[in-house]
Formats: sequence, C-alpha cells, structure tokens
Amino acid sequence: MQCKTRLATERFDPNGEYATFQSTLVDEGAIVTFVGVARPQSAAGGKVTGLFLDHHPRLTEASLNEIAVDAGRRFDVSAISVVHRCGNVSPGEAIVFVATAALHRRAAFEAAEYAMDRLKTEAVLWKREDAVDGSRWIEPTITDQVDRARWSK
Amino acid sequence: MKVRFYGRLGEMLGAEIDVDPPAGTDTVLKLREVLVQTYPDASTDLRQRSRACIADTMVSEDHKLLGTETIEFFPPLSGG
Repeated sequence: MQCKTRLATERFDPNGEYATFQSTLVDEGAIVTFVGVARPQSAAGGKVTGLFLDHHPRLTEASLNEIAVDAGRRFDVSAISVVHRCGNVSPGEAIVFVATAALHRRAAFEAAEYAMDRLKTEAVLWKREDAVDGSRWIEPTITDQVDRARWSK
Repeated sequence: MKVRFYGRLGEMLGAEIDVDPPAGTDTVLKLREVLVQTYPDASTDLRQRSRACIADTMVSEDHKLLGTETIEFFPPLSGG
C-alpha cells in the first residue's frame, strides 16, 4: 500500500495533488478524492476573514500518517494521500485533501470517509475561525464524534 | 520546567512558559492546580478541557513528574 502524507505550511493546489496521486497508480479502477475548503461564513453567519491552524512540531505529521496508514490497512486500497494545511488559511483555500485508490469503488469511498472522520477528531491540530464578529476555537461537533464512533463498531 | 500550550490555551497563556512549581508538585494533576493558581481565567481549560503530553506521549493525571521534563497541554483537537 502506497501512503503519502504532508503537512502543508502554504497554500496547495488540490488539482496538482490529484495529478500527482493519479500518476502513481497502475491498475486501480476507482479513485476517490475529498477536498475540505475554508468556508467564507461562520456558523453564526458572520463573514470569515480566515482560519488559523495551530500544530505540533512532531505529533501533527505523525497523526496524519497514522490515520492514513490505518485507513489503508482497514480497507482494501492500494494508495492513499493526505495533505493538511496548517498556519493561516484564507476563505476558499483548501484545508485538507484526501485521495484513495482501489480496484473497486467501495473500498476507495470508505477509506476516504474513514480518514476524514478521524482527521476531524484526531488529527493533532487546533483550528481557530476568525470572523468579523469575533474569533473562536473550533472543536469537533457531536456529529463529528458520532461519525468517528461509527467506525469503532 | 517548561510548559507548552496549543490552540486556545496557547493563545491565552502563551505558547511556552517556564514554571518553577513548589515542592511536592509531582504529578500532572498537581501541576494543573499550580497553573490554575497562576492563570485562574483558564481554570476550566486547564482542569477539564486539556490532555497532558510528555515526550510526545499522552500521559495520565497521576503521571509522576521529575521536574525537568517539558509538559504540553492539548485542548480538544480540530482538524479537517
């Protein structure tokens, strides 16, 4: 299984990540990609001026790698790529990119979903949303926790 | 002893501080109480909403402190 993870300190291009990922594949019949994008509005409706993602000098990258490896092992995928931003992120910029490849679609879909559910709750990152009506540190929602818990069954 | 904070705690207290705790501060739990005395505005985050990490490993509240280690406090994580 091919596994690649990267903590990006600068803006990255999801299309470029996909092209790189796709170029490494051989005989897979399914590729799934997910791109998480910084929203321009907060949950309260205020205009978001940016996000700040605090990170740990070692454990953040280790957590990305652990999640990607687990996703690859749990499902029958041949390749997985995870790129996650840290630092200052502007609205409209990609925060996270996940790509999975497998012989068939089900494994690729499930591995990508599993990876995202764990990234939301277990990636060693701390996300602050800065909006015109104030800043707030974002924490996983009940839905995020439920989404994560379903993979424990 | 160096103490590092991340996320909301880092914003409130600074990314890294030097702490010289009183004698007898020999567990994570006791260190939290020392920090709360200094930073009462962060008491909830320090007591209930953060996990402790030493040498890149999460540790329990009764983990014994030597006094020379660096301890880090992690508020709830939020990626994706």
